Amino acid sequence: MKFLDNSSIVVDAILTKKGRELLARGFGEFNITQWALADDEVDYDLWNPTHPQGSDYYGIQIENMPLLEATPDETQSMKYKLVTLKKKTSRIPIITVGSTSITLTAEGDVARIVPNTSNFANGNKMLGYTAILSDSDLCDIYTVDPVTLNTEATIPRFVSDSEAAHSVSVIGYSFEVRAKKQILADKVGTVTIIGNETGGRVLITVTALQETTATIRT
Amino acid sequence: MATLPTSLESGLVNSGDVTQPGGIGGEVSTSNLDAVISAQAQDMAKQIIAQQTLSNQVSFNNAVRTEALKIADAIVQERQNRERILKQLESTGRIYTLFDVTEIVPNVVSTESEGMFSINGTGTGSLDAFYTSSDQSSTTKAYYLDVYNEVTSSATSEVQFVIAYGNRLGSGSLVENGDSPTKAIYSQFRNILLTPGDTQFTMGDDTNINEIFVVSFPRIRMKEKLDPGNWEINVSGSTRQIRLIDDSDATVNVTVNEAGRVFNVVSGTIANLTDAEIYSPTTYYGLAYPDLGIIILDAQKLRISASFALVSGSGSTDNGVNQYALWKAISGSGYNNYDFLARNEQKINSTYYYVHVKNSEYNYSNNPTFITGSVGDLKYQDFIDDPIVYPTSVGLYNDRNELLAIAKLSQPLKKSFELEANIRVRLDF
Repeated sequence: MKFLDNSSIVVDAILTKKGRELLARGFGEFNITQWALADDEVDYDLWNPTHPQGSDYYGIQIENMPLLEATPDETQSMKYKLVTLKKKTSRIPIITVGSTSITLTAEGDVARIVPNTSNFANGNKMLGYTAILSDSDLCDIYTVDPVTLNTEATIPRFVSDSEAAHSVSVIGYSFEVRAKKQILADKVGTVTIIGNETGGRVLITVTALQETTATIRT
Repeated sequence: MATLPTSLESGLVNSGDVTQPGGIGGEVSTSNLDAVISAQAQDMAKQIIAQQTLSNQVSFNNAVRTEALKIADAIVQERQNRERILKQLESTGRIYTLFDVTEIVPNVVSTESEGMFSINGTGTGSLDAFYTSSDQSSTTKAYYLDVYNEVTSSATSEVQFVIAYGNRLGSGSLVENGDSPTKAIYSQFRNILLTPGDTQFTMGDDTNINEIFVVSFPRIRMKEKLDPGNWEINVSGSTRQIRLIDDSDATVNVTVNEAGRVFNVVSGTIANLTDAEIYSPTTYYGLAYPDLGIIILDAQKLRISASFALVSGSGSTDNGVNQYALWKAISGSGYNNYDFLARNEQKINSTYYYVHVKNSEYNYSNNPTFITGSVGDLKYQDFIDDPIVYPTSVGLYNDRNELLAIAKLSQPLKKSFELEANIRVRLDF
């Protein structure tokens, strides 16, 4: 008879940029209250249900893979979160939008984004969605239908060498993007919509066209 | 606006140089009366101001208290709202779990030590190669000598420790325009390490140490402090070699002065402790200040014991000669396979977060490879009855769902409806 394994896994955490910022700000703003799990690096295509040595080996390729160190960039971590669902679930809640491509033809053009959660009744109806605009030089983004809970997130991220441009995060049930003036060329960016309850995400490509004499508004 | 006390209102009215009856009692001259009234008025005014100050303070305190209670209520309310919502979500889909109060253990202090030196970019407690750099300017070499682990052209070359020579009288250096580097060094370390008014280092019975060697470690190498009892310098001259350690192992009551703990530097090795147990009387070669990462050595005693030459007196025609002498004596030890051994030490403040993943939780993934098609179907039929996921990261969030810290597992962790997981996440500050 062998002893039962009651050991726990011990891991070291690193602060993210946001964590360092809040820690430096003081006034008790650094306050960890909840946790989540993610499997960003795992490719489930490596799961092999036809492994000749049987079911114990279906996941052998995943289980033996080495993992990368944690990165302090909070926008590049915890992308694919694990979610608690009832057993016998056959479909994962997914986030959908009307179109995954938006083209804004002139400064001030507006497009609305209304996310929806499929495969889960009332999914994300309480905590709503987080919309992350990748580049604030592209357009403005704002919430049309805000959530009642005060969870307004701000996750700034510098884009290349431009310190003026950064990503913008807003929370709500629906959003609008408003084009900014593009003088030199067309500008392309993304808006990532993340379900705050179910964790699914969808990527929307946003293109703001270069200003021409035909599109200038007086 | 405050009203005057009745005694003043019904009291005397200044009507020139006459005597008038009043409430103050007896007959008084108008000049005396003015003084009395003035004094009383001042007393009254002080009382009124004191009352008003007290009243204002009470009002202010009440206002602060009211606002603090409001803020506290709002925080509690928000927390309760969130808990309520997350409780509701427990039976449905969720990606976050709130920590219970008992699952967060803050301010755990632990002491960590590691090798003081670096070789090929990794820490080690033993240094066997000692390089100087021609890149170090002659100006700074007059004061101290940087000692590297590798030739400075190497990408992993770093300063491991610094040697300086100090002379209370300024000997051993080229004095130019009244500037004596050795005197400056002696004075600098005397000021840092000795009590105010103490002008000379004392080692054992010798209270007049005029010549010192300083061995100090860069902050990045020693972290918080030099680990007492775990360092050993080997110095070799032409005829002898001596190995030096501190006497912390034999010290019951540690001396603590303005520079922190102080230990004597004596002959011995880490492995066999002090030679004082063998040789008597003990020779004190210096003083070790582990909290500052500084070792002070008696230059003359070291020179005689290890047998190497020093430039002293006022005849020096060059700067920085004596620190080179000690460097050669130490590097000679390295050549003879007697390394410089040292460890650093630091206290780490950590908070532990205990993540308990129940068997019924977190068995599905938003990973795009977990599904197939565009409607979210699980990729494998087996996963409908027995989903298996492999978490690789634990994210720690605040109430605003902002990722504040992240921990990575060493390997993917198998998780299913049959498996639970306990993960202890340590966050150092």
